[in-house]
Amino acid sequence: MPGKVKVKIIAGRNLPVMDRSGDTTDAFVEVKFGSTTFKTEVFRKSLNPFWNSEWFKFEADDEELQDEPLQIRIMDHDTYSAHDAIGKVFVDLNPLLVPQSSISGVMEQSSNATGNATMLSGWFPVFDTMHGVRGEISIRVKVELFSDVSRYRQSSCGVRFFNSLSIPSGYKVYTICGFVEELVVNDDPEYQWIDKIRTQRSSNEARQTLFIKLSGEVRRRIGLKALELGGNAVIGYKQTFDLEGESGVVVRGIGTVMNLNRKQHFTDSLLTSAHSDMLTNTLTDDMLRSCVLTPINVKPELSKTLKFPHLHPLKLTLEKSATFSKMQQKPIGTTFRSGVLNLMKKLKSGMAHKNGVGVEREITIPLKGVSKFSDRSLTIVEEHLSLFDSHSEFIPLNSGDEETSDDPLFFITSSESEGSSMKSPSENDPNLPLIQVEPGSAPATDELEFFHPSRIRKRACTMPSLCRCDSACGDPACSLSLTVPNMLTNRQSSEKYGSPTNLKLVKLPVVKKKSSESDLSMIPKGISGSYEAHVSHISRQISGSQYMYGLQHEMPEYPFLTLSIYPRSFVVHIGGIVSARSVKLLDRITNPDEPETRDAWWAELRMEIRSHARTLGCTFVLGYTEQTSICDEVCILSASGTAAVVDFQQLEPQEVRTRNSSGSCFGMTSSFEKDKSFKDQRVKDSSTLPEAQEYLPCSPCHVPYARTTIPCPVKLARCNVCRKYKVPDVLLATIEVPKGVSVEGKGSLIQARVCRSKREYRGGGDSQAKEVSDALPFLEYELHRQLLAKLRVRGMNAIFGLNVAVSIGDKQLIGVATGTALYLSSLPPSRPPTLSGTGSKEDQLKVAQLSKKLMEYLIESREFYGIEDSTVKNLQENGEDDSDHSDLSDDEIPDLFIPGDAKDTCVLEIDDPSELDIASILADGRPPRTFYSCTTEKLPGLNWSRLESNYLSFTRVWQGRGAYSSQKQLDGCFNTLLQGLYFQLRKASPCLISGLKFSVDLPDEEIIQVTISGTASKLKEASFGQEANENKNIDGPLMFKLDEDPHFREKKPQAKMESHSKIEAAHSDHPVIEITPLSQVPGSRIDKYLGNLNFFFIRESTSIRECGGFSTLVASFISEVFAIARAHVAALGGNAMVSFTMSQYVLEHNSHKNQGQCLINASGDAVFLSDGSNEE
Amino acid sequence: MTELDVFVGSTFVMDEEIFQLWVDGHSVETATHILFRRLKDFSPDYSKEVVLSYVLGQYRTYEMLEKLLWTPKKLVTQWAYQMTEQTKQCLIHKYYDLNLPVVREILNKKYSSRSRKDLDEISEKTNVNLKSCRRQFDNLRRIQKCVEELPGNTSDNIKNHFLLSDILANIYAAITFISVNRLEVSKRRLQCVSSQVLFNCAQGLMKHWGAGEMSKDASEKNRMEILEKEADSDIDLDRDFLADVCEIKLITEREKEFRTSVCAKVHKIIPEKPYQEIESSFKIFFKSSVSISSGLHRSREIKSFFVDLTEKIIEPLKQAKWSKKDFLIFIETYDDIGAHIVSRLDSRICETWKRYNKGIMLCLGFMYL
Repeated sequence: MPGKVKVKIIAGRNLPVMDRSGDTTDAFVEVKFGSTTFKTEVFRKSLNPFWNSEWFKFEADDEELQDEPLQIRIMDHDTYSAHDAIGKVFVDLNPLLVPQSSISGVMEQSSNATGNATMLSGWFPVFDTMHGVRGEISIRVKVELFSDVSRYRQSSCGVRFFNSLSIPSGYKVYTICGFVEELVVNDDPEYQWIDKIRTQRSSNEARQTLFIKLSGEVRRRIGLKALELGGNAVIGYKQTFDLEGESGVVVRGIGTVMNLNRKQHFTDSLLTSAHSDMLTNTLTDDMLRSCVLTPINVKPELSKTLKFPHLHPLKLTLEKSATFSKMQQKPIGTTFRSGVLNLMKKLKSGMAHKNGVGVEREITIPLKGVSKFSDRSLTIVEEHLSLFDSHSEFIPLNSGDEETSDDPLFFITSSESEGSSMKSPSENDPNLPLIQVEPGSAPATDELEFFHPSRIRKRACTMPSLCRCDSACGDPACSLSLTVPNMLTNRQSSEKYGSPTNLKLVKLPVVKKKSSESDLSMIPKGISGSYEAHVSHISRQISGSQYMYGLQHEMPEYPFLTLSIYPRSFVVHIGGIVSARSVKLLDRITNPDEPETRDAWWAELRMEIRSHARTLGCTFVLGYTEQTSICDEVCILSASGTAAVVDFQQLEPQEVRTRNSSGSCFGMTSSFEKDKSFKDQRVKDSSTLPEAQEYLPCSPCHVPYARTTIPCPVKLARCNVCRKYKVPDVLLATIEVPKGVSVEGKGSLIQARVCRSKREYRGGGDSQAKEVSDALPFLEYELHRQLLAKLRVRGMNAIFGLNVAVSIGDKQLIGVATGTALYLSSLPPSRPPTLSGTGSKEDQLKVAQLSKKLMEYLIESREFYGIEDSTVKNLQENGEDDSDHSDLSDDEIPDLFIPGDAKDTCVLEIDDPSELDIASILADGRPPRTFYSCTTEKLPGLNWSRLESNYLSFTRVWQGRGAYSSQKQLDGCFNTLLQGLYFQLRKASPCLISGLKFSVDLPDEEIIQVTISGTASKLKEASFGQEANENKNIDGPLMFKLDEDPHFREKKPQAKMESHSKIEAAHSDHPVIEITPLSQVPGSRIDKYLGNLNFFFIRESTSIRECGGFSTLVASFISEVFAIARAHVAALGGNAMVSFTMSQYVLEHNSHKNQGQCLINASGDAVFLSDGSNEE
Repeated sequence: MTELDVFVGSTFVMDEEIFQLWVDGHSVETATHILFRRLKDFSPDYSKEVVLSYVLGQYRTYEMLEKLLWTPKKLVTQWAYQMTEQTKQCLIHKYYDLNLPVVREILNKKYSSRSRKDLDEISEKTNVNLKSCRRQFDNLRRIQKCVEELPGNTSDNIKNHFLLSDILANIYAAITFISVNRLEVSKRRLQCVSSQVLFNCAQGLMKHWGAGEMSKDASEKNRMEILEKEADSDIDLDRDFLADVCEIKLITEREKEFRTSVCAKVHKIIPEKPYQEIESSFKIFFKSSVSISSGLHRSREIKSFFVDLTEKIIEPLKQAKWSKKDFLIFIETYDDIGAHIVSRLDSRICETWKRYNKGIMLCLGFMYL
């Protein structure tokens, strides 16, 4: 989609004085896009110029539109010498390239049918790399995309990007198409010869511009891949810059491709379609997709007839449609989409004329007399198929397969009747067309039952896709599309069907109604390759429906999802954390266009992750992330995620589900609350069906693997909730706690840090790399040991939102594992750690003391986090339990992962008095009583609705010089930082600090840099009080203290006032723009997503001392980045930025030269919030 | 050793206590000490290191904000520090708040870099931190520089440009008035006159004698003329008026009439004993007030206006043991009756006298203690 970019420069304000003599500035503006530049007039002698320029127009193709930022440079005119630069504004056009319809939905689209012009308008801070923000400029930008495109050109314009780690609220996922990654390599201009001859400013700007372009390119390429996978959006998108120094810069992006659409419009469009004689033009792709049930890659053919200019070129080749066949819903959509549409059209017009009576006649009108069908309804299919003929290059399915057609057709007609009488859908619909079914074509008796509508309902329960569609849509076309899956349910027929047309429907893992384990075992027949093995492997737990990934092609290469929050019941089982690290030696990238080495590196890691996940009996890796740490030539690449078994049918969060896995297959439909009775019936019916396996709330805790099949033995126990399945004793995961899993008490921040020194780097890259890679396992082991020990002294048994980061420096390696510890009710209670000393008597005494302290700490922790004492009882019970099932745990070989974990307790061995400080490690980091903190978005065990408002999001950057090599020093440093954080936020208490992220860098031999980011939300006061009361029983005196804390009291009213005045602040010149690293804002609902923003900034100064020191430079730079992000959000019409992340790449400071340089990359989703909460 | 320690929030949350300490010019160490001591009682968990880091961060933020506070309008329109309206007002108010003893000392200084250097004397004398003195000095200088040339009501101008509250804006206007007109206030004789009294007098003078004020009273036609000429600021005294004012010495001819009428009226209110004093020193009052008027067209005389008032009127009357209450009754009566008498004279003189009298009586009313 080529497009026109129009830019208008309106005014500037608060510009700096550039002409010292006159205390004024003669400002003008250069607008540059691609290679075209325009200039405004010079506005003389003013710090608040008003240009009100004409509209500057640029023409660009979509590649340019996506890659290039719009560059606006403000200059001071100088008659005699070169003009001085005041600063620049970069505008990323990507948010404007999203077709309007997917932003605002059906209604707006029709009003906006002529073009997709979207506008951006507002005041932007003018940023200069040497001086920071210098004034503001008001600009307006419009993009007009052309509606017509060649179908041979692939463009990823319009693919939406979300940083959000959960499914964007207000959107519905049709399919999850898989993992995408892309990386682009380039030379870093900072390390090129040209850098030596140009000024710092131009060097910084060149670098900044290049990085922005690279980031655009990565995004564009990912978009293309997303389209290939059949998605229209990339969720959980994460972009990273690896500054490899001499060898260049690598920009990486990873994300999860999905097919998304706005909720609610479905019903909207439905109503309109039912009530008006809608012609195809007014059909939106929203509707089409929802009707078709199987959202697929949008197709241009359609878009042409329908005039949807923004849709993507269709790749409707037969080969394509043949490949998708693995997934049930998918293929249908793809194959029949055009046919469906046409049919729809016809039906529509028919309906319009005849008011929905005699629909069948209407249908048969276009009938092309296909011989083999004796049944009227069959002819519809034929007709339908023949549409392909006329419409596209589809080979007509010369099927003649009676079996296939009967019941689908039935559905066509039945839903037809519903459609026509939609307002009064009664069970005994008189309009219900009678359908003759040839005896031969109705292989099962129950299919005959369909003749009565009520039967349809019943059938619907077993095959929800069908019923859902017909009841939900009431539109003939959609039910037609539904027929197809049903057709395919008959495996023999599908094969038959498939062969002549080259459609490989073989792999179709259809669940027959009443699927059972034995049924499932049949499924793998069609599943190819490695996944086949899996199916059989796990089949005992999962129903086959789970294999309908909704993935369009075959299983994706990497079954990774980058999200960390999933709909209820999506996560069936969690296998545990999987991670892989590799140490690489950086070399010059010889051919930047083919970054093979980097690609290969990551491919290696991903394969390792994949195989780890398989070992755990898991098909998917959730919460997948990739990280790097670079020091000179040595680079550590890490990838990690949570191995899990997932159920793709659970993507629709709104629906109340019965836990019948076979009944709830084809989960990707809209909800239909209208039809209550229907739902009820469904629930009832499904309960009568045999259940393959229940989905229990505790299910995610159950292990997906058999103990014998995994190489590393774990201790298994019976689930404390269902008492049926096995659970591990400790569960670690990178994702958030799955919804519905019962958590006892509150979660807490948990962190392990380990430092290892290494030999100094002396040019010998190889030996260096080897040393690092040798040290890594020890580092990880130590981290794990610490983490588990800390977990146990808290009396908890699981960690979620865990991130393990290893940083490499000149002289040391630092590993930091941060997560949210919690107590899962289904897991066995953690056993208190015991200390065992081996030394002298004196030692024994110390040990005894420490043990006592530890126990005290444990009890205190339990009280603090609200983990009931009943766990102790549980413990005993469980002990018995364990002995009962001694086959489960007792015959295990010593665990590799849990050091010293002899059979049933955690033993901290102290064989050296100097190690006594282990105890002090354990006793660290509990927040003051008015704080909760966690790394996850939501604190496990705390209701989201208890959060009152977003207080502030913060970034803390700290650099310390000196030795931080000992454990004590390192712990001290982190604890002080955490204390500092609580102190900073003490006025917000009671409060929750969530989304905590820690990152450690070792930029210099002696410098350690720690960055902490997160957000603080106020808790409703009542809730905290309540909390205190709740806990009072257990912990009376201590919690009372909290209430009586004068500090706490005193601050309360003030806090209230502040949050109140936030509303008033809306009247100030700039709107209030919230910024949060979470994907939601407490107390608000996201109405609209306005686009993903990504910034890269460089700030340098050569007069650090004069402007207040390096800290001032960094602090003001970070505030400026916030400011620029806010300005962009406001210009897009938003009022908040969610999923905001900021990474400081380089913060260099040379105090001797009085110089400093910082690089920051920030990104987030611009949204519009309104009051209310979107939590169910 | 900490090389870098930065905490940046997406929303700027003001710690009023620390901001006050910063505004008052306390060092980071002092502020840390104060905060630490205060917190120690109920949240002993926090180490001094943590408190220090916090205070440093706050101070740094305020230093960055200070540039915006110099032009509060920018504070309102900037993106970088998101804060509530309330916070903005609080910041501005505290930053522009004045310490009256310090201001009293600064009042007669020229806003030059030389006098800025002398601020340490003031700091020592008033026991206010040097930094705070400097801030106040700079604020005064900045406001004067901005407002000096602006037409119209100075107080409103200050409110518009610096977003100050009414009270503060009025004070700044008064100070600027005193400073622009170089009114002498630091003489020994005036030491006992408080800053607040001076501000009130200055405001009165601006109101009654200011050039900008004229335009308000003037007819429509006059107003147009004035606009064409050049809009005046009430910070400048109305030169025309001051030139005219010497003409009121004509009323000396009527001294007797004044005296009898005023005394007669005052006598009805004031008891016999003090009345005697009033009657006997009426002449001093009358003559001095007229004589002050005769010199006002010379700027030298204007400078010493407050001194003259004290020397020529207030001190003699005090020696004559006029009580403040009596004095107020007296000047009120004088104003009333005087207007009556003067109105029988030339109407031009009448207007001038009234305007002159309003100003001077107001000042006397405030200054007579």
